[in-house]
Amino acid sequence: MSKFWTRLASAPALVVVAVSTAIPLVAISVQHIASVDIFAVWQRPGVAEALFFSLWQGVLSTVLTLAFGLFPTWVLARYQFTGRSILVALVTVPFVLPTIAVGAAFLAVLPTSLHRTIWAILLAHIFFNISVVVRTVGPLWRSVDQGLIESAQTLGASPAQVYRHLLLPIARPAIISAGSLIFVMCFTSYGIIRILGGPGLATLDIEIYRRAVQLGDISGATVLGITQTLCIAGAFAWWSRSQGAQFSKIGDRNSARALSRSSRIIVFLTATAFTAPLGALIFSSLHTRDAWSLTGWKVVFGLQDIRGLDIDLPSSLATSLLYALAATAIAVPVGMAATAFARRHWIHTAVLLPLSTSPVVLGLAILITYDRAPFDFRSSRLLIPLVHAAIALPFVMRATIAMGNVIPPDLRHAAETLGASPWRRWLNIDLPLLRPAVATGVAFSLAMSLGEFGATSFLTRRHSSTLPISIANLFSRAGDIPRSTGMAAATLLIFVTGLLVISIDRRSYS
Amino acid sequence: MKYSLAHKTSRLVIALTFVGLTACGSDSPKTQELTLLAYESFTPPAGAFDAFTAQTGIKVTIALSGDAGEMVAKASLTAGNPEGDVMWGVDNTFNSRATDSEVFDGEPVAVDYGDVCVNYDIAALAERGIDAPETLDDLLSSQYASMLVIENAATSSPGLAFLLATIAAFGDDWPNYWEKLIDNDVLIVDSWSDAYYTSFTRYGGDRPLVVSYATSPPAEVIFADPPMAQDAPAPTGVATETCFRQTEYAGILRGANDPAESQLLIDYLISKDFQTLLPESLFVYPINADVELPESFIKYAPQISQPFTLPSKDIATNREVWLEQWSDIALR
Repeated sequence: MSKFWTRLASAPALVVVAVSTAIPLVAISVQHIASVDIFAVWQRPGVAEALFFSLWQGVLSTVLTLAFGLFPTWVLARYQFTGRSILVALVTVPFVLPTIAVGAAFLAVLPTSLHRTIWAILLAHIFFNISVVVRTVGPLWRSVDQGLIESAQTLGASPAQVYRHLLLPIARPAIISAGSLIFVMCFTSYGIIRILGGPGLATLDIEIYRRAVQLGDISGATVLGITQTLCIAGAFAWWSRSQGAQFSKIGDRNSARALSRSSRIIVFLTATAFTAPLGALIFSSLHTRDAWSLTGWKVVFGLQDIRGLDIDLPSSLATSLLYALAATAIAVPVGMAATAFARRHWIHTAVLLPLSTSPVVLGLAILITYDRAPFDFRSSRLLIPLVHAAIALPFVMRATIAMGNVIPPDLRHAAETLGASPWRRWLNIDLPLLRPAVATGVAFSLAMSLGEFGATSFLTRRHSSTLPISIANLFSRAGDIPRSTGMAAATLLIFVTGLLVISIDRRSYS
Repeated sequence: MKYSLAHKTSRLVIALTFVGLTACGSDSPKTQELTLLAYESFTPPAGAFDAFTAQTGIKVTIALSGDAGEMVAKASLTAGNPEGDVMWGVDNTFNSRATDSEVFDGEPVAVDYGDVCVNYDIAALAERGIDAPETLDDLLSSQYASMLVIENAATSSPGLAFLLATIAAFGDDWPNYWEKLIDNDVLIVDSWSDAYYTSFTRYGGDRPLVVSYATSPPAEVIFADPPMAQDAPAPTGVATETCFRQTEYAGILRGANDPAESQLLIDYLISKDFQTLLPESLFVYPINADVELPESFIKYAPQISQPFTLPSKDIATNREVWLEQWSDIALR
């Protein structure tokens, strides 16, 4: 019985990965890799350097994000304070920031000496990915019984010892999960590196783009694309061998505690670090070179038509929301079903495939795979939400699996003894306990889809554009109004995402 | 038994997914409909094709994706089985690649052109008490040290155009020019938006010279907020002897559903009706000489009488080598 359910439940996730990524990648490899290129492409200038740079900055960014991310994660998980849900939303929204808005916002608050250096990249990667730590590790720490910590303290453990011997082991599976996702995000980093790193620094993803688009070398680009995917899968498989400890002590979730002095400092620093770039963005949406102006916002809401600026922003926003809802409706149930029953590692590695594939290679691969009737859905309306869902899938699954580990086995065993079917057991025991994980999955899927640019831009669209694409379009025009409108649209994107995240969190944590 | 049931179910899921996707890809060839492929920033005014539909009864669907380079990469891969009927916007830096991969049915036609030139912030130069540059050689002068921002030629279309201008101007000696330009502390950034909106003095940066378009000054006037005083000059100027001409082409894609109807659309794209819309929506010059330029172009866009240019074939042949040489000088 259980084997059957396991296979069935993970099938939809595998279908999403297969249709969106695996089948197209095989097709493009078979059709377009010239065998000489498998080795020859590495001899080209810049290629080996790009791989090396991707690796080291990816590892460094991941370590730093985890190191800095665990502090706010702890405070947000363990303390109850006014503005807590706003702060959680605030750390989540950078996910949707369009790169040119990041460029403008980030460069505005960074000291000039850091512009276009590796430090700017590392800081931006921390800024972008901290929410992965907060949202993957947070729910676990939230569920730790306060009594457990207090008894450790009574027995004379210092805060450092409590952290090392109690909290860290509990969070280990989640930290590993979060770390692997952050590594993928940073290894394949594209926009941030292009804008903040300056032209001398290139990741493998950038090199792939350059080969495919600038040089028309599809074979070389595909070789590099496949290598990137294999590299990440390999790193991940090695990483996930270190299994986390099972933990089975569910605490009282509402152990609301007032902020201590040190946690107050952490809240303050986190809030400042995340508010400053957003503040810079809001400022530029309201301020042209020498005056305050609401024109940008009026254009965004369709209240003012500007001659020569035919970009329909209200309908872009509607399209973005529609795609985000569709992607979430696919990713969350599919991802949760897969994790509910399947604990095997290869599935977790498989779902990383879409996220770790270069958007250019993915776009080209989809283009040549689904080009004949009855499978000619190169420009199907469902294609973009499906790709977004595929990219969001590992986030949903990782959030679920990390939480799944805290479900006490004796609860499950009791249900089994009483004759509950696996479905019933999952529905009545696992699902209610997984509510924070569902919230995380929904929040990440929405944010991923609302902010996705690379793959969306590369796929052909016959319908309205998404908001990030319209923003990029605005920033390709010279003049005050395109710029302030672009900034206003980016701010709107952030607010919409923030509001969605806050309302989801409210529901799940209450 | 259980296994095979699961197996069947997963097959059913796959089949249903395909059916779902196919059902939504509504693309019936029976209706009088043409698909025009174009790059992302192709934004003619709403209703730009109404006149065409009224004349011919053919509906035009616009399908957008990426920039010109991405569009050509995709079109080359799908040559013969294209995503649409007509493609708009392949420029002379990519045209030869499109032709080589037999993307088009017949020769594509020129539809518009524009120039990539060094622009300057008039107020910022005045503040520094410096005259505006005019030529490529001017840019090497020490008075323009640390003043110019340009785009990465390997990733940006205006960046590449500026590199090609120097190659057209200096021939085999271009690497020498670039050594000197780099010595004069030119800043290289990723893209046009990055250069214009974060490094150019007009938008808060510290570089009063930027590689942009000859039509950026009229755009600055049209989109000024607050609006500029009547008859005030444009806030930015163009160094008229630094320009590279980009010509964009449109053509019928090989494998188009109906080549005859597609030809009607090409005719419309170069007709006066449609070409009149181009200057103030795409900020390019119409190819159709009968079109009267709008006042903003006449008043604020300089006439570029002798732009640099290179044959599309030379660009295609040498692009990789040039870009590698350029990267060695400029980025390392």
